[in-house]
Amino acid sequence: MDTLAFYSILLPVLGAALIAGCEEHWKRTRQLLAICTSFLTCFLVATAWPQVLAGGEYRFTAVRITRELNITLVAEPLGLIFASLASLLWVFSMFYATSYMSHEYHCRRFFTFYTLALSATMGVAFSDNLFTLYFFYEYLALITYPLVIHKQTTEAYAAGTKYIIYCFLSGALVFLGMFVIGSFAGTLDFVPGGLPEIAGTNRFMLLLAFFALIAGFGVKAALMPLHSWLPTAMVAPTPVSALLHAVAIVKSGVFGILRVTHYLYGPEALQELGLGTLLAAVAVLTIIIASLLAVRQNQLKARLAYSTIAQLSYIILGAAMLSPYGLTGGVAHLVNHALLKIVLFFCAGVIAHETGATQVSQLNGIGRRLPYTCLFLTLASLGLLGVLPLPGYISKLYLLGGSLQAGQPLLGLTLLVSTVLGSLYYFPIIIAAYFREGSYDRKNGLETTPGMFFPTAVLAVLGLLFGLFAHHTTLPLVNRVVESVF
Amino acid sequence: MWVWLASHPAALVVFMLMVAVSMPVLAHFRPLLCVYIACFAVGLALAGSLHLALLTLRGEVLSYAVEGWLPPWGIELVVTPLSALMLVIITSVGLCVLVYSIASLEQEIPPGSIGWYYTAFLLLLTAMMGLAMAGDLFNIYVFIEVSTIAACALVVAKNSKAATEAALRYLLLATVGSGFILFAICLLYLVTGHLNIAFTARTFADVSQQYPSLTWTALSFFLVGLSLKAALFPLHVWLPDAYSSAPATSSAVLSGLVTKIYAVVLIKLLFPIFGLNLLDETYLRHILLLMASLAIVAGSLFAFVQLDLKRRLAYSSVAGIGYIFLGIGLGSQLGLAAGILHMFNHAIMKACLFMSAGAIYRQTEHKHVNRLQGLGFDMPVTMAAFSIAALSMVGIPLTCGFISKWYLSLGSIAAGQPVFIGLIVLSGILNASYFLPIIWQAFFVVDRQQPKTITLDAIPFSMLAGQVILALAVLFFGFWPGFPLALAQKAAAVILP
Repeated sequence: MDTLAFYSILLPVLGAALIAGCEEHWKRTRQLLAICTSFLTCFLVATAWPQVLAGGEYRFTAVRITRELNITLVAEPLGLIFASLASLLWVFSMFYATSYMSHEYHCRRFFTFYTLALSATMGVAFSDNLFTLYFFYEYLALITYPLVIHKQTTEAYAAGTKYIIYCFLSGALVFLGMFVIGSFAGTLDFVPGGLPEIAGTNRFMLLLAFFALIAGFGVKAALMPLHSWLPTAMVAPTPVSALLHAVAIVKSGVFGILRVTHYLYGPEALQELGLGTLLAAVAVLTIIIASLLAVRQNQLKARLAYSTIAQLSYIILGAAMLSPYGLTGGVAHLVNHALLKIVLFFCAGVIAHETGATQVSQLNGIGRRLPYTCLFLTLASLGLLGVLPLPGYISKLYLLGGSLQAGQPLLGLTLLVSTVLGSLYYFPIIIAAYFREGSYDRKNGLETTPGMFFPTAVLAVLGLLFGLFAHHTTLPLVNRVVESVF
Repeated sequence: MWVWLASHPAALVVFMLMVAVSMPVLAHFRPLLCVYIACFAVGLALAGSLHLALLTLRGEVLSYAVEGWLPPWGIELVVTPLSALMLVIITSVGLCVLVYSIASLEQEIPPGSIGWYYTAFLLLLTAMMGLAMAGDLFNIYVFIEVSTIAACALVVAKNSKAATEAALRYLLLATVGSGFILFAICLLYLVTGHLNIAFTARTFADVSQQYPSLTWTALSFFLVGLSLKAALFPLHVWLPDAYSSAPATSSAVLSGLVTKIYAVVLIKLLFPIFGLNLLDETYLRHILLLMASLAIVAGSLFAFVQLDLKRRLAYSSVAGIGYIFLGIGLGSQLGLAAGILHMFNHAIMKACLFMSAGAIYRQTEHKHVNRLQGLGFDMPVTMAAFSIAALSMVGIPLTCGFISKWYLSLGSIAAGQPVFIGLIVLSGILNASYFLPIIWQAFFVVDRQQPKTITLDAIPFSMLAGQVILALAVLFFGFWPGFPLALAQKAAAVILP
């Protein structure tokens, strides 16, 4: 079973190959294949839980090129969290996408690459060294380009070009960092708590590699000022923006940053180099600026995109605190934000699909037409803000604890300020939907297609449960991560 | 047989020479048979080269004195790991190009000249194999001349106005280069009284202090002459026209092999005879590094603005040569090994790219890079091979291009000049900027309403086979670079102990 991680990458590739083999008009077969593939992958990933929770891991070297360059996959706590999250959300998005895309062109291409992107994300999650991570990171960028340009309008092509340029710049920076680390440390492996070889090497080179790696992963994690591809890329179809731009791509960037800070450099080395504070400062600035920008957005998806930028920096902030609670909060927020943000995007997609409204100003009274969707939207927004029983509360609590533990209460203050800012961009949507008069009327029966309604509903409920029962769902594994690192 | 070959490596060159000169006779009676005989001969040479490579990998240095006349009087052939690697590159890439040429040539050159074309082709391979093994300066000069004239013949074979003009320009500049090299050889002979490289090196170490300006002159003439032949920027002016107007088979072999052999000659002369210290004293190593960096950046920038596919590939070759000279100029063992490894990798991927370009031109008659929309559906195999080789040029992991870049970076760190990592990364971005748009167009720019269906390439099987073998080699040596890497490291260890 050591090959578990390997198979969870191979399975979507096989699924994608089958989907690519289907003719354009074999709609049912394609949908079935897509859903089965993502479901099986999710199941496969889930089977790793008992062993990993018990402290074991599955390691498999697929290709050994030279001593320090090898493609090694490992199912260990942090990777498993990300992989389970991504594969679970993929199942729901697949349902959502089959319904959303039913009247679009080029479905074959869309689902092929949508499934391939799952394999790339699994690869990012399970990589055991920087080389493997870099490989899957570039692979993910190449695979998602066709999804961004899917509409093939001039606007989509422009967004695609911008996206791919950012991706390749980010890849090049990671490449640079990887070269420097590889030649100085002689190894690229991820070790919880940091590589022992890294201490005592050339300080200047360590700083250079750190900046290159953080800037490289920071592009995907939408750290300011490297974020501008994200709002542009929202031109893609909603299932793509939901999954890729709220979960897979941006989270792979954040995941890369976590790997760099806690698995390559390690908290102690970063503390000594004084880089934790610097990273925290960038994260704080990103949170504040992105929240302010989000308030000004009138387009719903753009507002969500900016809120994503702000929320991602919470995770980075958690990592930058270099304290156990900070890391717990960061990783927990990685899960919570993914669950809730995807619900928000799904709701935005339902609204656009049913009423054609894409601007916040068009949402007046929409709660009458789409009562349940607006309920989910409200739940998810409140959850992200951190209202008591909802998931965001747990992660923010840990982040606050982390800031105190690290002796930097100012960072905790930022969290409070940003929560206030968050309410400034979420509440207008809720208020408009429920309390403003609009021209929407009630409709009998289910408010949207079942394929879009149920994934949204189930995920919203799941999000709620994850908040209520955090100590039985995410936190055990998160604690494993923290134990191994500190 | 194998044992005999190991003690008589010159047999490879003689054998190839015989086959080359028999081609026109064969063409007179059985024109169709020419290419198969040539393939067979190069295949045999490949087997022999692999055998020699395995022997040198074990640490044996094979030398052969022609007619039993021992050096310093006789002619000596030495098979070092570097020569063995070069022999393998020449014969293997040559074989793939020959397979490709079975069907591609008949449309590109006049039917009557096919026999002569293969003569020139095999002579070129022979001369390069000779250059790889030659152990004395005079034979190096002779083989350089043979390879230059044969290469010109390959360019001019197309019999078009552009090709003739390009070939003339190539001939003129290459002759200037040969003149420079000959002059430098004369100077060396003047002071040392030897032509054998090993003996020249030994004597030269004693006398070079007495004649500082002569040493300096000889070194400069060597460097300029060989850089001109290897098309190192800014001496690359002959290259783009020659490559883009020649038949596809010629461009593949010219860019894949010919420019590299001069870098090998440079390595063979520079380090044993002149030595690193002299290079540092005269700042020539820094000039070499500067020229290599300029080649990498300028070659990629020029490639970016070219709209003709083959010209774009030609300029990207200029950048490829830059990598090899960067490896040489770093002056560290690891850097040199990386440069030598890149010769191997670059030969494979560039030959593959030129062959794909030839196939694209044959099926669509499009030369313009922006007119390849949806080509991935009409020519899936060709475009897949092209994409693999192009991604390797960019340096995506699991292709052989990545391995070169990785070792070049390690080499530049080992040489204490990490700034070149930045250069390598920059060139990766530049390569991506001119290769990826071609791939995207081919696979993703299709009509919105009518999805295209995939149909197999409408070009002969042999043209597909040549590309596919090389594309698979790109992947294979990206996964398992052990063989070329071990040879390159061995070669560098022999040259820079």
